[in-house]
Amino acid sequence: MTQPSAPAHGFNPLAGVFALVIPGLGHLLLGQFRRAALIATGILGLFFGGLLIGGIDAVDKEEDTLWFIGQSPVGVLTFATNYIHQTQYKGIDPNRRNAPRRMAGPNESINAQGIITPSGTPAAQRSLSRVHDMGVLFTVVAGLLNVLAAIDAGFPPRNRKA
Amino acid sequence: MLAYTPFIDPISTLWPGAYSSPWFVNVLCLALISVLTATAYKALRIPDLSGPLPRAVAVAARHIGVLALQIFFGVLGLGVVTHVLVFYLVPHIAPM
Repeated sequence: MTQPSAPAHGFNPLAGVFALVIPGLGHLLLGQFRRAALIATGILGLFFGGLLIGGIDAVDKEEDTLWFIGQSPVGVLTFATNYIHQTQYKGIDPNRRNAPRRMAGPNESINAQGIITPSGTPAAQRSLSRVHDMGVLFTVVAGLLNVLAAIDAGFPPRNRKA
Repeated sequence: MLAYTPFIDPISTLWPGAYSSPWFVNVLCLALISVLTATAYKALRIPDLSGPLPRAVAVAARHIGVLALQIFFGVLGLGVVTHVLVFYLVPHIAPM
């Protein structure tokens, strides 16, 4: 009589969830330090590379909602970046108070009350065209790769070494 | 020139030519995204990263390098094929 073979994959939901909070954390929980370092290097490199290219405007839940869904698996970093973007770098247009908050234009600034004023220079430039596309692409690829990493952490292969 | 804050302002604030430079998208961004994507993906695919650190680094670097080159030249090749299709083949088949 043959013994039933053990499944090729384990199951560790906590590691899967941790991987979605911070890239690499799930594999760190599994004790796979080298894999965790490589995952963090790749995914955080893509995320911060996207911010370096496209600026903070690359992560915007209000104006690029579909892209934000792709970016969100990077975890806390995406939500923190979006929060900072919405609260620190966007203001209320005094002429359209019910409109969504927006970034200040080239000859505008945001005062202490969060109102856009027609003088000064903005705290951050808006990214446009190819620069914006590349910034969004990098951050979305980071998010989608972290989904793979989270699945791998949640269902770790048994025959893997280190 | 406007002040540039990394990670807050886009790179075009520092380098205005990035908007129209073919090098920016076709070489610099493609190279960077190829290497970083290969790093994250191969972290999940390499079966054995045990042993002394220099050996593990060499194994990872070889796997990552091969995949990064495949992505880089694969995307570049797709770009060339699309260019030939749009600018030469289609006008030849259906002239305006």
